[in-house]
Amino acid sequence: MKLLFVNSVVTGLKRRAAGRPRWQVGAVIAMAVLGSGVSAYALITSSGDRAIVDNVQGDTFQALGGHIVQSTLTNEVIAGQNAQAFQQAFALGDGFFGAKFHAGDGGGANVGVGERYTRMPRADLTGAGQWATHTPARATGPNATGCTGCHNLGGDDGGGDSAANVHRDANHTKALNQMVQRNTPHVFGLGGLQKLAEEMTTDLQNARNAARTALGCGSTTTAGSKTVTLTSKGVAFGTLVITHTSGSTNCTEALSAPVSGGANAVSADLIVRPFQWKGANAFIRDFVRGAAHNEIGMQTTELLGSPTVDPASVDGDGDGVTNEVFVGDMTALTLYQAAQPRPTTRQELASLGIIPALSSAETSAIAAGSTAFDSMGCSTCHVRQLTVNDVIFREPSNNPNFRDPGNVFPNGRSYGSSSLDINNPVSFDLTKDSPENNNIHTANGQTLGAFVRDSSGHATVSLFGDLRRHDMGSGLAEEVDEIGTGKSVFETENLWGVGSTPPYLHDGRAASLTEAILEHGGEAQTARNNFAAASTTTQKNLVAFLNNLVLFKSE
Amino acid sequence: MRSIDMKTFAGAVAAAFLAIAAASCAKVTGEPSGGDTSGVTSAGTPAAAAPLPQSNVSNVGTQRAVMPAGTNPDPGAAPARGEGPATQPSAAVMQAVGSVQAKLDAVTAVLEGTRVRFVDCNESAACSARLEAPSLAGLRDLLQSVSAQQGGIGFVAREQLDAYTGRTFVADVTMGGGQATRPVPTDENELLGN
Repeated sequence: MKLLFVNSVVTGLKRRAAGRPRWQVGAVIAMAVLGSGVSAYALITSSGDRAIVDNVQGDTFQALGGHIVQSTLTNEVIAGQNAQAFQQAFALGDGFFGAKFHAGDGGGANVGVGERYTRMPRADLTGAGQWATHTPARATGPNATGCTGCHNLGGDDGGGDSAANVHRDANHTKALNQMVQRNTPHVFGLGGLQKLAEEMTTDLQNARNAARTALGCGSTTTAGSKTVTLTSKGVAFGTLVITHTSGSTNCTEALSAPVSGGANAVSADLIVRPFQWKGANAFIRDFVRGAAHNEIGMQTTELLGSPTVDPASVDGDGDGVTNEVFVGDMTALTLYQAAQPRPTTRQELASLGIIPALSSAETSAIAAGSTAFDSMGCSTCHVRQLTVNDVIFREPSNNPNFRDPGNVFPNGRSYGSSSLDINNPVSFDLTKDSPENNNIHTANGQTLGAFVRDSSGHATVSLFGDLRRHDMGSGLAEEVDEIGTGKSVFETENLWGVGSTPPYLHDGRAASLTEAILEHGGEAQTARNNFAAASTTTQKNLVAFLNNLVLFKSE
Repeated sequence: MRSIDMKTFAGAVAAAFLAIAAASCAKVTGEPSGGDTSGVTSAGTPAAAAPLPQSNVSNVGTQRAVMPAGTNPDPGAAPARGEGPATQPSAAVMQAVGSVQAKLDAVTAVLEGTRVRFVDCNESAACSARLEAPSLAGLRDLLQSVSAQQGGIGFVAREQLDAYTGRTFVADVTMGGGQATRPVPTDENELLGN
């Protein structure tokens, strides 16, 4: 069919050009083709060309050892071989993160106008299979051929320079002032963050549920009201007023900010969401499948199709490839992210002989900067450390708030239909099992990749954050309220690894830590002013303290 | 001079052929990319497998997690399949899905910004659907319309945040097949948490 089409077009053009000089014939044909509206773009989406790419370049997943089917992992867990399942998943996740996916794999997407990748959202491309028609709706990209296209500052799994910023047009406005720009954060220690969020969510919801029960919400019609103070792990999340109106079993709730005039620290559902700049995503799987689709054009079957249509038959991004990422692959990528090593410090690396010993001047500056960090008020929000009580990370989680609602994937298929079993998760110990940096042993007998285990068996997560949202003032406000939490509201950025990952702030506007501090406002205005008013020596000490917080991988 | 003309012509035709050929390759059929439906991994031992330290959660038999209150364990977990469904839905199920989808689409067509994410039905015509609206009031209106259309529904509503798709309000709705129903509140603030 392709040859017939080509021949008929050229034959027709030749007839119309009869009698003209041949150079004119050539020009006529070329101009006719270019100006005819025919989609004369070179983009590999056909099965034949994709097969050639696969044959020459090799199937990327095959090179990584092949896709993982979720039932394989689940069956291994059931058979008592959790460690094998975790190892297998981590290895594939590692390969997935580092891979560059090509057309045969389904990497990228049919942006339209011949492009496979774009840093500019193209809501104007509304033709069949083009950017604006992708399923799920696309907000950005695809921006890169693989995860490390952006996560490369401070090593693989690190942050990204400003050149790696992405631009999102969630509402397909086509208007530049309705897009947001996002800098790439590092992904170290994510398992610790999700576990903290799980436990904090449980604390907050338990407090709410106790009050609701006492008021008879859902069961009685007696009027009443209760004010609940929301705290977890020493972090204040504000207050919740629950009101039970007379004559109804329903109750209403009103959430207040922990800081007068500040932002609500958490959403009304009291789910602590540790991922993305505004705290949009609660669990790693949700975050990575969105990123795989939007950033690199690798679509998981969890997003596509419907409960009654085989998702393997759906090509959501018009690139001619279906079934790009299996449920098991997504479990693997999730576990790989969750088991990333904790960030460390230059002082710790020096103590282990990995880097040269720090000078006494540098050590003194870090110590003085640490003191200033507290006295200036930075640690009010950038809380140095929080403790995870249950150190076992599970995928899927045993906390329903950190799975898809109702155990149903976004495409409507149940977890069970893909053998993702909440009773048989693949699991690992945050304080023992990270495969990265496991060849380096710390003074307490653990490995450098593991979270520090305290005497109670709990994991210490030195995140320098509080997993709360804050109003950062008009100076950091965006033109778009990305998730409805407020244009100037962002979640506290965890400072672990900050010495390895400039630039800073949500859009990478701060090339240096000094700039980042000075650009704080809103709830952080006082701390910012304290820094600005300090001596240059004290300011340098604080920056030295922050630069001590680094990423490291031994591989 | 003639030879130059010939080269020019040949080059232009070649360029045209390449462009047309490339265009004709674009967006044809979407074939499965070799998805594994055998129920076993298509992988051998992963090439990049790193040696792991001894885990305290390894090889201790099936782990039965303690489920928090409110958990809805999926009774359908059956760990013996690949990616695709084990069996294709029956014609009756497909018909029920199509019918409900059409009815819900008729409702969302007149309520701006609302949509149906998916519909699922079983053999006894008990159906579930996930409905989306851009605001809480919009979700209330949508649920009220669907409830009136269906003669009653069950539902669980929630706010959904996503860095890529922004803020939406979503309800998982059940209908038909004798499933429990409840009234949709007039105060949209009572949708969440009740």
